Amino acid sequence: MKRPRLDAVIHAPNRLRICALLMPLEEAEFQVLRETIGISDSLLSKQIRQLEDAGYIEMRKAAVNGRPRTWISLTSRGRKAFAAHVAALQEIAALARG
Amino acid sequence: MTNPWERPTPQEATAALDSIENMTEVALERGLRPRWFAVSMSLWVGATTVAKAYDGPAADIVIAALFVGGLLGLALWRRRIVARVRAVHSVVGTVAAVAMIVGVLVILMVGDRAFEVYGVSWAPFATGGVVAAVLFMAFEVARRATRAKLTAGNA
Repeated sequence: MKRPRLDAVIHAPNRLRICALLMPLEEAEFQVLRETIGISDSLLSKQIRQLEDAGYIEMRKAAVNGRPRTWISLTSRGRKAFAAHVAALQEIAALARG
Repeated sequence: MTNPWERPTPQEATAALDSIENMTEVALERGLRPRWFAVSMSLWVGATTVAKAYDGPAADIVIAALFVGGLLGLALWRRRIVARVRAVHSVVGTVAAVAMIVGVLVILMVGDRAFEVYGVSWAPFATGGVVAAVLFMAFEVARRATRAKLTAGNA
């Protein structure tokens, strides 16, 4: 059986939190990520770009009442990578419990 | 992608898992329909049921007003959505939804008959109340099942 692998792209704290937030969601607005993660727009955009470059998330732009809104979601590749990353973390954490 | 030099210690891994759990909670809070939504929808359907059952001279106007008001409310609520949880499907859920629809239709028929045939004046209110209660319970069960499934999927 293949062992779960840690993913360096997901492992960074802010990107891990972004993926964890998006995992149970179909999609979330940029504003939700910014408020929840608690980082600046520019830093969040940078983290999102890195996840997007890895093919883990995708963005969709839509206008509501003339105001642009950006929706972000995990791709199926991103979901698989995140699930594998969590499994690897659980394996490591289990070592602490012996 | 794997970087062996960044392998976390068991303590760091535990902290990361805690952080994931927190984010999952926040995501579910933001993405799941709020409880007031279930209350509003149940009251809306219950009130429409009462108006329909009475079938008085102003019934059509009341029903139309409730219908339009409800649709406007739904449209306004949809605009405020900032996160949507993933759809969770289960055979048990589908069977329960079908059973609920059949049950509500039976309640409507019984209430209608009690009012029109047997002249039970409070039947429309009882029918509306029961329909609202059943609907609220259905929303609540669905909310809890979705939460449980998505929390397990993220663990």
